[in-house]
Amino acid sequence: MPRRVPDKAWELQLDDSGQEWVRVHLWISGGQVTDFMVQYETTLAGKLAPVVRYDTAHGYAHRDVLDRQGRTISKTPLGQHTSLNDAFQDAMQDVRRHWRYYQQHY
Amino acid sequence: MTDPMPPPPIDDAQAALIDRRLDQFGSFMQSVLRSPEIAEEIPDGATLAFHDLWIGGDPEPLRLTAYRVAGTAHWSVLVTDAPRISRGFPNWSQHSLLWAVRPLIAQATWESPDEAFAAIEAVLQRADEAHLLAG
Repeated sequence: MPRRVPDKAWELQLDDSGQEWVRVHLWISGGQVTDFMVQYETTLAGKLAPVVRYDTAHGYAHRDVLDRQGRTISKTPLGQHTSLNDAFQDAMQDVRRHWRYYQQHY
Repeated sequence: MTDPMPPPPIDDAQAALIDRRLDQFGSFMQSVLRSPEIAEEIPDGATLAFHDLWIGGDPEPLRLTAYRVAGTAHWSVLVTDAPRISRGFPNWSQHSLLWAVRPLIAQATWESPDEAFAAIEAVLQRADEAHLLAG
């Protein structure tokens, strides 16, 4: 079954020139955030393109690393989490430590 | 299909800025997960910007979030975290300062996030000085 449209989609410019961005999608139910997707994007040929994505779709938190054609080249579980907050912290720790590596090896 | 050119390299100054904004984003999202009503305040499709504001001698910052609704040029602001309050140890000074900016947050918009943050900071500085003078 296709995933429903997120309840909130926000974006954040990371650098001064607007080449690097983070996009976040939230799914909210019963007043609680139930799922998230966080994506780091860079600019290719004048267009934003996803580099790495952290997602709780399919029932588990995972990281998708993408190539310049937009294909997923690796899908890695983020580990066992007892809460969405834990999963998000793992995602942020990974992107904070490795975003430059992902961008340089894109 | 040809492979697009790789993205341009990022210099160290911009990398440091990206690190800082990712940290601010992480703090903001922790606040949203803890207090989902924040998500209700910020419209779908918004562009975000963050600013940490140290005021009143408090060792922990107030975290401000500016947002621009898609298709508009106007920025609004929320205080999305006041760490001492959110930890359940209300700090009277910080709490009273937040009340000082409520009308501005509810009604005003600005043309850039920097203008928005400067306006909020000015009001909070004045409120803090008045608070200190009042003893």
